[in-house]
Amino acid sequence: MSDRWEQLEQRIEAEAASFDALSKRLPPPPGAAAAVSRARAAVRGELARRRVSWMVRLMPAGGVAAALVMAWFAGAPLAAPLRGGDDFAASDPLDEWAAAFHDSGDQLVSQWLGGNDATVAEDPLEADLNAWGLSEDDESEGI
Amino acid sequence: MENGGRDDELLGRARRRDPAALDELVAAFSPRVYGLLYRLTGSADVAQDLTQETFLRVVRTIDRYSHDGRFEAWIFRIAANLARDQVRARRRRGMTLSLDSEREDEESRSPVDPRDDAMPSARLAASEDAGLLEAALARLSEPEREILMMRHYGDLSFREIADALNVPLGTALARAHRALQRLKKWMSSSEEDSE
Repeated sequence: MSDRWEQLEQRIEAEAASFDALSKRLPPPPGAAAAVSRARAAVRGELARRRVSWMVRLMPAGGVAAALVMAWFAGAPLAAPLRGGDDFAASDPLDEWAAAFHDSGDQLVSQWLGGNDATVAEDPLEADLNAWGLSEDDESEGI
Repeated sequence: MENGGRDDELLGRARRRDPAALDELVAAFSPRVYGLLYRLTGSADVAQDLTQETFLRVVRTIDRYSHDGRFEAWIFRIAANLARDQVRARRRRGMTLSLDSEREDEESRSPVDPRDDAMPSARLAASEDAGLLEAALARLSEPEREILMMRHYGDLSFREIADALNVPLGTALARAHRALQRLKKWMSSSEEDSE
């Protein structure tokens, strides 16, 4: 029984792997550079906030100003910028993606679709999934 | 993060909240986390907010993380949970969130949108199949899209995805298979229609 289960898992892994090459050709979502920049700024801001908060707890009231000055000179932003980015890529990644996709993307789609006509029509995996109690209606109750 | 020793060392530094280590984590994972969140929420603004929140949670909770698997599975679980919370919250407010209906106009423009006059010819040529694929992905149910996108952006195995989404392995496998079958069917019929 476990052998059959492992086989099923391997077949679905293989099926997914055949899609991996195509899925890697999905265009990068717009706004990725800004998202990276914002995440980085937020993390730096959080670290600075923790550092200042820790120093404030240790220091007498008079030392708070000194802690703020120290944090400032340490190069830590005291408030993370919430919008915008400081390190957008100089070249357009979409152009690079489009050029790469132009070379091989349509071929990948044809291969993926063309090589799977039989499974679309017959889908032997579906029968196995049903046999394992993973029917479409109650898949969440499955193994 | 494929080198085990290097991962452990980086994780150790990140746990001590070494700024350079956390910077490295953000650089390594945030583009993929953003990609996942963008495909799950359909909004660049929401995905940027949630990417930021994902890494804030990483910083805040990394000392409680137990290293019993791949570190990225943990990060993608945080991101997927945030996306689900967001979708639920929007549903509660009576708003739907789907890739084909909800994207803000500017952000929703596909990177290969033919309305872009400045689009290079390669981009135009590339747009057809990628557009078909994107449209087909958008038609999938949320759980099916979640599985495929975690696989695509997270590079996670189905065991890791099942663990991250807290579903049985069989459920993850079945959803992935059916999602791929639907994509094939839709893309095949679109290709036939265009011929």
